[in-house]
Amino acid sequence: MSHVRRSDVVKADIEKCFDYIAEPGLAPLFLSSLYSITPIDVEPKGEGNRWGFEYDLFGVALRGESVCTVYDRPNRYVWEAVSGVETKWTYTFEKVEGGTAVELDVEYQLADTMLGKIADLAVIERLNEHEADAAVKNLRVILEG
Amino acid sequence: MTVLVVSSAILGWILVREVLLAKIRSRAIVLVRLAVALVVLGAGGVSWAVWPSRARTYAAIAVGLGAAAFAAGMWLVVGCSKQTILRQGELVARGLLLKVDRRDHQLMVDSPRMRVRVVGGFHRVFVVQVFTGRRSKKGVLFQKGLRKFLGSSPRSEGGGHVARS
Repeated sequence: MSHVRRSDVVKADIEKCFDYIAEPGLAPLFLSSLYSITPIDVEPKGEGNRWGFEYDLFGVALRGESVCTVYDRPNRYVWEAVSGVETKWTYTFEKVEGGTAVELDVEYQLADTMLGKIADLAVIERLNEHEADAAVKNLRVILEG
Repeated sequence: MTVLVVSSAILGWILVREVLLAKIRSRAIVLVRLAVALVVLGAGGVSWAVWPSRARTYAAIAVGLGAAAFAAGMWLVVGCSKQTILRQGELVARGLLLKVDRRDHQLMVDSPRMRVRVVGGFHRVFVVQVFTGRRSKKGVLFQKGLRKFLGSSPRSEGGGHVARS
């Protein structure tokens, strides 16, 4: 598994940050390569919520299903893909002076997929780093606006 | 000449990709303002090839119309109704934590100033004007989000997104 980790301080309440990020339907608004989310079992909010996703990687649509594995409001939120690609996204929230420290840790494994066999992993790593940077930046724009 | 040939090639790629993806996924087709401008330029290129004697006239018209469509923020949406376009726009605006005012043909956001207006169309083909402030970061996110939300709308109607209201 490879890792990308990013963190930043968002000038917003910890609950507001958590609630926004833990709403799967809003993820395409701050994750640039995530094209769409299809609800499967998303109410009530919590562990076990499931949804379908469509991710656009170099113009190739990766589809799969995700499940929320940790819903510890307002401290930690984790979801994992259970089909399509092997990936786990962990968001950690910490109250700090002037806002909330939001940390995003992305674990991913592409080697066993068709894309992993044909694509340059270094390029994918750069793309994931870019994606994580953009996600944190976009969250600041949305939540601080 | 070079501009029209290059534009036509880019246009062809965008159109083929969008149409094939939409066909495979049974989704709406969304051409953002750059694609619309290229469609107009491409049409100019085709006209040039068909009527070479009027090349300059058609090229001038195509470039003028393409530039106008780009500047005005004209999008082309194929495969969903006016209500779906406005509803998805409203979901995106609310998803970005913006206060939105939905009217018959348009959505308005006061701060930052944004507007989505269904200019015209028929059946399930609509020209939509999407205006957001040039320097507004939320405006950029709004346009990206709107394209995704509209592009993931099933052609039969409705939308695939969950979003809080």
